[in-house]
Amino acid sequence: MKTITNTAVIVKKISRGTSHEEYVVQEHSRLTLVYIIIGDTDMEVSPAVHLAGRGASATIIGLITGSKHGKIRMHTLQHHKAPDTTSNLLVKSVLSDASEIFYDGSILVDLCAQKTDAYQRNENLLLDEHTHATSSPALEILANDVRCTHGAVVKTLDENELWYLATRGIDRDMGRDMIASGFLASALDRIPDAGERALVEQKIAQL
Amino acid sequence: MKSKSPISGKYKYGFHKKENYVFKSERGLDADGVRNISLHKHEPSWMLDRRLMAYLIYTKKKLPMWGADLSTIKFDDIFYYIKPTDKKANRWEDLPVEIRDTYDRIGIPEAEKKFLAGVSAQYESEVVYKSIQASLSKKGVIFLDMDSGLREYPEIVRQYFGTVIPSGDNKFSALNASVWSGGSFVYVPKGVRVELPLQAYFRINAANMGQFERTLIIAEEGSHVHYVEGCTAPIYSTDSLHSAVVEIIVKKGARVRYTTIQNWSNNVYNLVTKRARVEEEGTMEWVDGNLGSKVTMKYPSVYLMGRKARGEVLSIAYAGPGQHQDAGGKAVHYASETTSQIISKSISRGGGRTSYRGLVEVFPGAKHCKSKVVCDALILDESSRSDTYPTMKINEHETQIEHEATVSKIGDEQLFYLQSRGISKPQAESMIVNGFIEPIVRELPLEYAVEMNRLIQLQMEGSVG
Repeated sequence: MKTITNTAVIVKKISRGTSHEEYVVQEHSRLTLVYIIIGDTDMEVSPAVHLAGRGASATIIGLITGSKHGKIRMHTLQHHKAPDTTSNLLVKSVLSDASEIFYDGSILVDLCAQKTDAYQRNENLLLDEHTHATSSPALEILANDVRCTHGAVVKTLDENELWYLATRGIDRDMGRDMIASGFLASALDRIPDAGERALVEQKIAQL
Repeated sequence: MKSKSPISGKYKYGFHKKENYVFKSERGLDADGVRNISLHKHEPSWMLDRRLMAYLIYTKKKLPMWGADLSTIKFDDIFYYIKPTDKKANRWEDLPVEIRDTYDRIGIPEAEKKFLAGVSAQYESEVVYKSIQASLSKKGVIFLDMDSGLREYPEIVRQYFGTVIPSGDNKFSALNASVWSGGSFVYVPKGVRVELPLQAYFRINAANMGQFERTLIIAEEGSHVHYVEGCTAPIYSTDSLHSAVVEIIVKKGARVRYTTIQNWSNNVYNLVTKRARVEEEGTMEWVDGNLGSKVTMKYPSVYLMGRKARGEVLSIAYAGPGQHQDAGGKAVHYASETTSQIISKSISRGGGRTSYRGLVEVFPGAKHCKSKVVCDALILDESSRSDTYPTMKINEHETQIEHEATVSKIGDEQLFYLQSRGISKPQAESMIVNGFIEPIVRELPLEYAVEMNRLIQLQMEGSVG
C-alpha cells in the first residue's frame, strides 16, 4: 500500500503476471497514475485507489495493448472515503491477433463522501476479427450528493479512416499503427496539468 | 365526480367538462364488446377479424413481469369505447361549445393562428375536429384520423396495419389492436416534403375511460414529415388507462420525426408501444417528453432494416411525487452501416422515480454499425430515485458501441453562484433543470419548447420547502 501526500506522478509498465496495488490519497493530495500494459499472455492488473482525505483527487489512466492469445483482466477500484473527492479514470485498449480484455471497474462512494465526482470510462479498439472486449461497470453509491459517470466504447477500425490515409500514400499496416497509437496517446489528454502530462510522456519514453 | 389534484393544487389542466356522449360502451371487455365497437364504426370484416384475434391474444398474454407496478389497473372497470359526437366538424365554430371550451383552455386556436400545418384534435375516442391546409391535400398528403383512414383508404391501411407492431407483440398492443379507436393516419407520397409539422392534440375526458389510439404513418421514398403529438388531460378520481400503438414505416431515403409531449394527469397509466421500421438510408427520430401520468412505460423503437438507415431517440422524463416514468428507447440493427443514437435525460423529485430502460441490438452480419447511448439522471432530493437498465446485445464484431451514464444532484456551487446573483433558490433550481434538458428541448417546435419550459417551472414551484 502506497500513501500519497502532496502530489505524485507514477508510471508503471506491466507485461506479465498479476499485479495488485493499493494507493491511499490523503487530504488535498493529487495522484496521477498511469499503467502501460503490454499483454501477450494471461495477466491480471488490479489497481485500487482510495481517496481517504477531503479534497483528494486521482487521475488513473490505463493504456493496454493486447496481442497473440493475451487475456488481460483489469479490475479498477475508485473508493471515495472522504467528502469533496474527485476521481477520473480512463482505460483504453488496442487488441490485435486473438487477444481479449475483460475490464470491470468499481466506483464505491461511502456514506460520508458527499460531493464526490467520479468518472470512469473504458474504450476498446479491436483490430482483428478474433479479438474480444468485455466491459462491465459496478457502481455502489451510498452517499446522495454525488456525481458519477460511467462510459464504455467498443469499436473496430474505421475503413473510411484507412481509406483516407491510403489516399495520402500510407499503406494499410502503417495506417493501422497510426490509428492505434493515436487512439492510445489521446488518453493522456485526461491529465489536467500540462506539466504532469509532459512528465508522464517523458517517463513513458524512458520505459 | 370530484377531482382532486395530487400536485399541490397547481395542476393547470386539471379541469374537466360534463360528459355528453352519443354512445358509450359497457365497462369491461368481452368479445361482444369488440364486435360492437367494430359494428358502430361500420368497419370491413377483415378489421373485425383482426380485432377478435387480438382480443384472444390479449386474454392469454400476461402482464409484463418487469418495469413499473401495474397490478392496480382495474381492467374490468374501464370503458373501452366512447363516441363523443355523432358527426365530425371541419370548422372551429361547428364544434360543440363544451368541447370548444376545453380546447380554448389548452390553447388550440392560438396554435391555428400561427399557421400550423394542420390541427387534428382528439376529444375522447374519436377525432372531432380537423383542418388540413389546402396545400397538404394538393401534394397528396393524407392526414386523417385512423377511423376515417380505414374508411377512405382501406387498401393502404390493410397493407400496413399491424406490420410493424403485431397484435401478439405484448399484452397492451393486443389490447389496443382489439379496441383501438382514433389516432392518426398519415401518408406522405414519394418525394414530398411536408414543411410544417402535423399536429394532433389528445384528450381524455371520462373517468375510467381508456384511450386506445392507433397511429400509422407511412413515409414513401424520399419524403419528409414531422408529426407532433401533445397531450394534456384533466384529473379524475379513479385511474385511467392510456394504451396507444404507433407504427411508422420509413421507406428508402425518407425522414420522419415524431414528437410527443405527454402530460397526462397523475392518475393515468400510460402504456404505449411505439415502433418504426426504417429502410435503406431512411432516418427516424423520436423526440419523447414524459412529464405527466402516474406510470409511464414507453420505449420508442427503431428497427433499422436497410443499409445506412439511422435512428435517433431523444427522451426526457420528469417524475414528481407518486410518479414512475419507466422510459427509454430501443435500436435494433438488422442491416450494415446502420447508426443509432439514444439520449435520455431524466429528472426525479419529491419521491418520484425515473428509470431508463433501453436496448441496443446488433444482429450477426450487420457490419460497421454505430450506436451511442447517453443517459443522464438528475435527482433533486433524497426521497427520489433513478435507475438505469441498459441492455446491449452485440452479435457482430465490426461495430462501434458507446454507452455513457451520469447520475448527479443539483450542485450546491451552481445554486450558490446563482443565488449570489440575486436569483431565488426555486428559480435557480428550475434554471438548472431547464439547462439540463435544453439539448432535447431545442429539438422541439417553438410553441412546445416554450410550453415545456413553463411546465417544468410549474412543477418546480413548491418543490423547495
